[in-house]
Amino acid sequence: MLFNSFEFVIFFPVVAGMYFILPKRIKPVWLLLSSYFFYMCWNVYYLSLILFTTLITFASAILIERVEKKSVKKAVLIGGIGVNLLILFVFKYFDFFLDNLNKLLGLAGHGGVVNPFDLLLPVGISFYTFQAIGYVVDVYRKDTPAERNIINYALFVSFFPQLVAGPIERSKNLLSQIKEIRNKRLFDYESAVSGFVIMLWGLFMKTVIADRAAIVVDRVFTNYYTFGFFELFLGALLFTLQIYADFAGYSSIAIGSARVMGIKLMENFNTPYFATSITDFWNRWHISLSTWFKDYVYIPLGGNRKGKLRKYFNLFVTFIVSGLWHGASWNFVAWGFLHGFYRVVGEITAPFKNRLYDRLIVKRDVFSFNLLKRIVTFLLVVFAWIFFRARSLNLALNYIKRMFLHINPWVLFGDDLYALGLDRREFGILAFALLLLLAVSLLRYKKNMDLGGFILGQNLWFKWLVMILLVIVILVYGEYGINFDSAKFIYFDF
Amino acid sequence: MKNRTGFIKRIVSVAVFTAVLFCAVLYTYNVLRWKDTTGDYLSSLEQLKNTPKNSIDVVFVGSSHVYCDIYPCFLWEKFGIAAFDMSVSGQDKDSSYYQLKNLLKTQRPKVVCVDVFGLTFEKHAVEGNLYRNMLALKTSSDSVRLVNDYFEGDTDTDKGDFYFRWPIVHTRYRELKRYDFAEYIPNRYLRGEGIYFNIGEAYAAPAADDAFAPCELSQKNQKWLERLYDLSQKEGFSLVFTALPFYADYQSQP
Repeated sequence: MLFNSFEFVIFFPVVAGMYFILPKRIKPVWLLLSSYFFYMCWNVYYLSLILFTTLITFASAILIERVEKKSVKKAVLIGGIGVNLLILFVFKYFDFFLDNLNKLLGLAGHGGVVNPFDLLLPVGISFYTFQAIGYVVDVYRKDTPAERNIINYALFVSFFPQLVAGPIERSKNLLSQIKEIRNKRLFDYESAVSGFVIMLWGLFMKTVIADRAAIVVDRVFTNYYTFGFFELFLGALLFTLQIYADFAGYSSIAIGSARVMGIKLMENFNTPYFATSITDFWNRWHISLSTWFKDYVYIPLGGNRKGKLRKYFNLFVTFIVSGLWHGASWNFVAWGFLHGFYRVVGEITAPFKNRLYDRLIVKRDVFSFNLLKRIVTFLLVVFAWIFFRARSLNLALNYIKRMFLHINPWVLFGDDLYALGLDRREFGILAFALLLLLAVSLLRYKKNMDLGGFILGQNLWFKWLVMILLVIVILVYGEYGINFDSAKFIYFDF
Repeated sequence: MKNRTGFIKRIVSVAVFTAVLFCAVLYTYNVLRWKDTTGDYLSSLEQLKNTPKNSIDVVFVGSSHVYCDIYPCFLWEKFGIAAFDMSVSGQDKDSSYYQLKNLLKTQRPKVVCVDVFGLTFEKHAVEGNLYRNMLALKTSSDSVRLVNDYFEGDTDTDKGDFYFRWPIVHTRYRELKRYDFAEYIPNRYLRGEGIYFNIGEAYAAPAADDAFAPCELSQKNQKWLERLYDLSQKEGFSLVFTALPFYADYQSQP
């Protein structure tokens, strides 16, 4: 069941409505059953996997807390993590592993190994697995007590707004709120209104911006060998905007729907394309995942506590693993590596850059300096996204090669760009929607306020106008229905 | 007391907002919904909505062959018979049955004349005709049954698009014209006619031979004829079948 589907339009009000009506004791059970139903709409059989992950990590955490001996605690921790990573490996990485093994065997003159499995990737497995692993590690580190109520814990793992594509929640935030459901007051009007606005905004980002941009992106990336620099740059630029609108849109719907029910999920995006450096970008992009990798991969590897060289190594490993998390393919590894490279080079060159700025008397606390930093960061990110979108390393490299070897400025003076899938009117709609996105992002950046909070503070006529216009714009200009390929949210692939 | 007043205020606010939202969405849907007013394709169902109740004596049911061949005013002028062409371009079997049922909700014709061109095809070749027919009726149990009957056995098509209509008609923002916002005035007095102001060369004599050779009726065709017959028995009208002439070249003859 997609968020941008009529099924969800029916599902969510029913679930939320019943949630408010039911007695407090029953609320978590109701949410849990609704979450399992939501997941089963994707694939009934894979519910068994989420149940297995839930039980293993639930039991592991309790055992870790009960056992006295540290070595046993560690063994249970490793066992609990290992089992879940093994499941992830089998469903997500086995094919990739086997393909590469067969290539190596082929090079060595041996026959390949036949794949004994034919498995579909369960939706959301990367997300809920990491969420569950994070919880077990938190218990081991004594950051959070082990949850004794299986219903609460199962709901933490499978809470439907964030089940299939995040945010990857922490037990301190989500689990503690779930435990308070029985003590919460019935209905918070302001949460419901702001949650509703955020959901509408997420749908707008997904259906009006992301799915519209995808039309050009798909055309350009599929036929890259027929285009020159400007079309290919446009394709990369629109993918940059598409993936943000798609993923941040999904996160908004997740956060908004949870907020309607009085549950506060963590923020996942904070105007990432306004970042002034790659470090800043990763503090703003997919925050739940980047903080997860920092807390559970980078810091355990030693972080920056073991010298510069080790720090750079740890950064590379963390980013490469992050790339691999996004997809079982070398282009994702390349994408992760590139971001690691950016980070490390940025750190190494920082002192030289500062000395250069001093020598050239460059003003650093002015708008123009920060604007340039933002533009450079943005272009670096756009370049890296080519690897992400290209779906194979070879294609990405060919795309980039073609981009820089076929400079064709004449396309800017004709109608060539309107032959990429969007005519003038559609480009106009996209441009207007992007301006709106920019305005909302500036609001977020300057006032540190999300759209829901901003709308809530306005007068009634404005609140109503914004909500009604958003509904109408989504219904009219959204990319759905006929001739629409039901492109699921990009991050569902993970 | 203050809490109670605030609670009531909020309930009223939500209710009024919901009503305003509903009206806005309804107005938007009325603008976007499928309409045929001008152009080379036609649907007379908009005209039916403006036809006074129980004023039709004879109904001609069929595709463009009906509105091209039958001029209702001729019957009125010559014989005083109030006739109506209930014709939609590319009208398929299922659509003709349910559109006729819809007509019978407000009319009591003595004779219904059905063109049998629907026997010669199962599915629409022109996408616009598919929408024209499937989206012509107001949303009702009959419109849902029409979609179910037409797409029976089809597992590829998302029937939800046709039940809810928004997934299809929302794309019409690309082609909105004046008569999507204001009523097409001729709908008030035309009785299934289409007005064309084209000037062109006369058609050459069609190349088709005698088009029909005897053959067995398929199960679906048989079912369609039986349904129409049952409807005529139930509603008390005389049922006439006709094969109206149409322009066809050799390739398109059935």
